[in-house]
Amino acid sequence: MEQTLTHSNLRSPDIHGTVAEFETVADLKAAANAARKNGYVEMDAYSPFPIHGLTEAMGWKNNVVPWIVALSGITGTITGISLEYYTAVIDYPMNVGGKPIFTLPMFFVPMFEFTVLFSAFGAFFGMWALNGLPRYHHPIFSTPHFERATCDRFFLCIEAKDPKYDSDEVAAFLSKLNPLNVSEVEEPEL
Amino acid sequence: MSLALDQNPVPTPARISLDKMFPSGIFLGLIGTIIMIALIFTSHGATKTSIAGSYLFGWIFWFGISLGSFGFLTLYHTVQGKWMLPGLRIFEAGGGPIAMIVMFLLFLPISVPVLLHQHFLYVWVDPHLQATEAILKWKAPYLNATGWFIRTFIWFGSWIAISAGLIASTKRQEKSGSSKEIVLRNNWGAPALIWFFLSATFCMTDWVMSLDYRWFSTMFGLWSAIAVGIGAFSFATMIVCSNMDRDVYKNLIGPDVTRDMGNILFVLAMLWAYTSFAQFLIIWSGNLPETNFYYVERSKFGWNAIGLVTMVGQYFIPFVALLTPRNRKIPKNLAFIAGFMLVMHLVDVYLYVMPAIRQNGPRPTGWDFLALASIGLLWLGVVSGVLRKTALIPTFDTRLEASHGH
Amino acid sequence: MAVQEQLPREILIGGEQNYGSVNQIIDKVILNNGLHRKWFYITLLLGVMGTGLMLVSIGWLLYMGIGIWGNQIPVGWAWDIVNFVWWIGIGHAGTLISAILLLLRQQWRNSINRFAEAMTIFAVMCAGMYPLLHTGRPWVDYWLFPYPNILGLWPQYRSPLFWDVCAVSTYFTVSLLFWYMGLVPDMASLRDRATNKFAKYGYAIACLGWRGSAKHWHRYEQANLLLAGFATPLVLSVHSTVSFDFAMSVVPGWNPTIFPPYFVAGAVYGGFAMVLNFAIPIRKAYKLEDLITMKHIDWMCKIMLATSLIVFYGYAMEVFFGWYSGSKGEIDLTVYRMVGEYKLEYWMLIFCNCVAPQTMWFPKLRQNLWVVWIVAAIAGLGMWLERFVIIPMCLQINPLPAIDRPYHPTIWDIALFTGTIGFFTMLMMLFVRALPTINIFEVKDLLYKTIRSEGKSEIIKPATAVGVE
Repeated sequence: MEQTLTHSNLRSPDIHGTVAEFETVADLKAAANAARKNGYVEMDAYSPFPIHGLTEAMGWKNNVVPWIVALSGITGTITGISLEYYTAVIDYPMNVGGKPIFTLPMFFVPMFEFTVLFSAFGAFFGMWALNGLPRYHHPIFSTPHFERATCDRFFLCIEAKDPKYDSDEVAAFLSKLNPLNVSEVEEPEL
Repeated sequence: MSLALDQNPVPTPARISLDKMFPSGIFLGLIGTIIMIALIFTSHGATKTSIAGSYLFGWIFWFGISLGSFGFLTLYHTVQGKWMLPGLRIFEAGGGPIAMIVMFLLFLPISVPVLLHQHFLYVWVDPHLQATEAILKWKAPYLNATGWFIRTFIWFGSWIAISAGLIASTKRQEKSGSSKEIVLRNNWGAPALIWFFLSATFCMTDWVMSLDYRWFSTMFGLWSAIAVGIGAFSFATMIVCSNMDRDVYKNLIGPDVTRDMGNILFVLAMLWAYTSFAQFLIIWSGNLPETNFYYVERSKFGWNAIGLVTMVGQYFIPFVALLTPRNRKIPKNLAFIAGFMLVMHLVDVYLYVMPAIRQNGPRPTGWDFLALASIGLLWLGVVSGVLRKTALIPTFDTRLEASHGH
Repeated sequence: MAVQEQLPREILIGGEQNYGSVNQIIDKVILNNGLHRKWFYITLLLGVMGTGLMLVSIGWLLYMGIGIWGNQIPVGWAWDIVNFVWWIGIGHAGTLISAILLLLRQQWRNSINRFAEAMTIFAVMCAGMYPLLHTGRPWVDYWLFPYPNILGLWPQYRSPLFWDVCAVSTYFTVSLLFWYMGLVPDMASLRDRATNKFAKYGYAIACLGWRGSAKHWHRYEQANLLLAGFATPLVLSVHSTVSFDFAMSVVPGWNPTIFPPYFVAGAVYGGFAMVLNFAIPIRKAYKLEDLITMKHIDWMCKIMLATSLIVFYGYAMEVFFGWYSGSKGEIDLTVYRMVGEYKLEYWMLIFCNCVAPQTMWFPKLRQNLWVVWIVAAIAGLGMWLERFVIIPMCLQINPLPAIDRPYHPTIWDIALFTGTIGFFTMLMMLFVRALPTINIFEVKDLLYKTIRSEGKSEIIKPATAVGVE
């Protein structure tokens, strides 16, 4: 980090990747498929809306969110029932309406709500954490026309960390995939 | 692609496993049913009540599948869900006029004695009791033998008329191809669905709730409609999914459709748990003498174990099983889950019908099994006889073919 | 055999649209100040005035105590609880549209869900206020939560009132998360479109740096579906829990077993009515007809009709089993409702919830926006009356001889209720002004699916120029 700071104006900036801009979903999907088949592994696509099958086309798989949610849901259930058990059975047992002290039917609703609340927290915060958001800045934002990635354009970025990455080769490869334009994106200078 | 169905498909023997039930099921079922009916009318006292109870239980279970099929038939014509298409022919056969007429005839050994004030099953038809019990006097305008008997005719008559009308319309459409018939059925579907809920509420009030004339619950009708829905939908799903490798279904029903069918089973299990739990919680918490004995009866002598079985089997196990996407995708798994839910529905029906007849606990007798099997064989025989005459995938709604064609 | 005709495909997006024009239609409401005409400011002003009234009512209530309300013994629960249940019911349509219809993959939900979710949040805010004030000492409302304290006491888990605390607070939290999550990609879109510097910075911060990465979308969709998965049982549980507040007691008329599903259906009915009441004018004012089409309105009307029928079924069951029960309390109550002091309210309720919505059977009337708006307004009133008929009315009929006067609300009951309506309106107006009223990315997704299923090209020039003026 320090090195980058001191020598930033001496060395050429790091490359984030090469980005192609597409006009349609079909083009983007075809491009992602082609890139995967061509052996690229480190890539990301940017689109204004979720496209089903795109991550598969990119050859990327991730199913952590459901597990986080399942775990947080179970945590919620256990939290709910143990809170109820400790406070209403152990700490301060009270006879209400002649019902048993440990009254599962009546403990059910709070237990359920705890489960839902914890699962929702798991889904929400887990998803953002895995996505690495909020994030102040990202190099991809310096791509030309990238403001249209939230409107009507589709981008595919083959990232520099890919083992097969070579600027010219990637640019040539992407140009064949019917893009509107191809550009190289740099890491921001710090 | 619908042109491919130009000729009326000639039913090849045993397209699906259910087809095998046709003549043999009816014969075997008829023998068993005649034995059961003969036993009811020759026995006396507690034995008579017990055997009639077995018969009622078997009848209610299979009738429930018919009623649920009728419900799904009306629901299909109201919302036209694609997920009902694979099972639609089974719903048409199970909830159709022929099956309903058979169920009506099979109910006569129960319903005629009511008209004649023979109180071996429905205690409240006893004229002596009616003259002395204050609550029965109050309820007499509704709960009287003649009214009960006439209502039986009304329910069956309406179901037969509505399902016959809807099925006739689909047949006309298959001939003419006119989309006017879709509009017609769509217009009639919603009122028919409303009628399903109303008739299910009141017929179950008459036939099940009135086994204990003191008890009442406003949830009961809705609960019954959901329960028979589970019966019908799990039956249809089981049949369709277990025959998925046969030619009739093989290339038409994709994973999107089985997923939806799994989802519906899931929703039904949730609704069943929801209505059952809410009814239990309100009665248990209120603990009022007017209603609480219903659950008191069902918590003694081992009935609570049956209750636990339904809670786990009808809710928790399907809940977990159907939450897994894999199980909704693989037809064999889904067929197994649906079959399991059908069995659990059977246990559930047992819990709702039997404690009013046999207070001494869940002790299934041979008669229970005989009644269940013989009425079941008869029912299956009739349904498969009806099904043999039609294409198993509806030809008037080509969405399944269409979605596969692309 | 003839070729089978099928009914024409539903049109959920009007006109010739492409991805960009969808953005333009929705963005212009926020980014183009000139679009907000006089009526917007008038409605906003009315909302602000209502909020003022609400604050004054709350201030006076805190100073004087709940004696300023009409609540008395035995009618200890009155307008405050009626309004609580009414508001929370309004919110349920939002969750239903956003969660249940998402799970059922009903595509027509896509352009109304945002709007309905916003309504949920604001309605729950209005609702939550009532029980908090009803406690009488709102400054110690933290006692509602289980925390170790020097009194050595815990909340009573066997009480449905505590269930209510759990259910409503969970509901509010989950709805807020769900809503915010849905907003993030759309706020990113606005960040990229906004020209005003403050707006741009605001959306940039609120959208958490969203960049539309496919990997992000993948997890986002998973989380969204899962949230929808819990929101569905949650919304059922919330209104069921509200119904348990009554049903767990043994007051005649408060404990029919049908209460939970019948409350939920009523909530959805009233909620859809409120969505229609707001969506119809906004659609007209901001020319959103291409995205909120007549098909959407048609669907909402049908849901209103279906839920009104369930509610009707509930009333019928109450009356029938009220009689069939043979229990004196139930019978007396059923008769009292029909011919007692509040018979006007009861029969109005039957009219509003059972008779008026039957007009929705007719496709012609569902296409007439005036009829739909009026029926929806009647439905809103009807649902309020339903809660009135359930809550104070069941308490009023009481065997004690000391009960000598009927319950009547005071001016402060009415002021607080009017105030919350104003508060709700104000929040809705600010929402329309500041955030995308229609879910941009879901409409684009729908557009993509429509294009693909029709086998057309994605490159479309919009027929009608919908430029950002």
